[in-house]
Amino acid sequence: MILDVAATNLLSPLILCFVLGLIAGAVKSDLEVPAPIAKGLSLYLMLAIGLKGGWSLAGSGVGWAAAPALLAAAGLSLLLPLPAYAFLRFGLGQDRPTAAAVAAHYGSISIVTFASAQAFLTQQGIGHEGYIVAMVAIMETPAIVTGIYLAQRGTTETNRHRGDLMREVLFNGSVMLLIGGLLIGWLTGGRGEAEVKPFFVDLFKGALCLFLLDIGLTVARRGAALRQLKAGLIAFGLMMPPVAAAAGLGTGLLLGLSLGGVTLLMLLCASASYIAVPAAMRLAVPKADPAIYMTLSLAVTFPFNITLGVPLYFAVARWALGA
Amino acid sequence: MQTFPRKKIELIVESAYLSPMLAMIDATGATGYTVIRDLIGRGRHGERGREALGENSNVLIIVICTPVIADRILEGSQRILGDGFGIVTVSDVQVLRAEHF
Repeated sequence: MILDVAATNLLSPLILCFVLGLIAGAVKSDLEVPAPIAKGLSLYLMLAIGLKGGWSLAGSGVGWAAAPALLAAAGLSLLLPLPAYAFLRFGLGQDRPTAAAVAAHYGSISIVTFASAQAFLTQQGIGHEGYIVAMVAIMETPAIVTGIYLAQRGTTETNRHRGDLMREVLFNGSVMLLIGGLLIGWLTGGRGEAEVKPFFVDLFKGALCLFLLDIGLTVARRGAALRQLKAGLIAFGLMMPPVAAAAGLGTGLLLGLSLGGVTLLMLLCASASYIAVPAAMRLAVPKADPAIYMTLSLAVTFPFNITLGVPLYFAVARWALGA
Repeated sequence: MQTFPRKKIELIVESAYLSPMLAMIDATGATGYTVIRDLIGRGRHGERGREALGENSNVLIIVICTPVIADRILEGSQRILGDGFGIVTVSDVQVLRAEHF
């Protein structure tokens, strides 16, 4: 049963596009997704995810019931970097700035991992709470604060770009789009959905395919960096997602989320950022090694989560809920 | 045709550093700047700009200004970059409309 689900996931157009990108990158094809197009695709994906969350909120009329979930999301993003940092710093003896920067990546989330999981659940005919999208937005940036705290704790270094970083945490582009989309979806409801559905819903998976193709290319280009990483770091990139997913499972059960909700929260905890956090870490913790945090998050954790992680977390959530 | 001497500063920095750099340049009293995004290149820190993800690409900031402001920008850029990555060059140029720079 689990194997069936895993096979369906692996043979979806999404994953196969990712694999195509990997192959093209590995054989050094001239295939390239131009940066402005990749940025445009990520804008589209985030706005679409926000809108869909807003429409399902408008339909279900949640309200204050979502408040504990939103607080929990902020808490998870703030706290998940701590065990990651402890393991990297004291288990692997990684230098402080790099350990702190990597930890921040693992507290934040990956929107494409989330979108792939959403597509997987839709395929399985399983819905989820609309406010999960608000949790996505809230989990995006608090980890940056923890990462900076960990990097500067006990040092005399103060931050030279505090103003920019606070703006980055609060008004980061992805946070604006996710929350903005959620509000627009919630305000416009079913009428709004009918108006823009052909663009934001029907085309969503196709756009996600293109984005995954680009990530495949990027991961392949990082192959060289991957070979230079210590085995302990790669083990961290594979072990941290299930550990964080367990925290997501516990929180999801406490919040009383549905099967789809628990699966997505596990995946959010398990995923690592590769857009918002790297940019913030370059500014805030310039001494951290980008080759380590980008490679771990993109070339180790991301492929693990979208191929094996999604069906694994789904199976565990189903077992835990007795569904 | 009469031309006037000015300094041209070119800064190649990671896109993460763009907004602090522009804020610094504005504070020096420079009258303007030009930015080119999404550069591709290779240097001591490896290949850059082939990845669309992760803000790994570099940007080029061009400022044309008087020598006094050029000095302020050079000092400011070192303050922001610290010992991090960045290519900063200054050259002498001639402009046609002195009052613009």
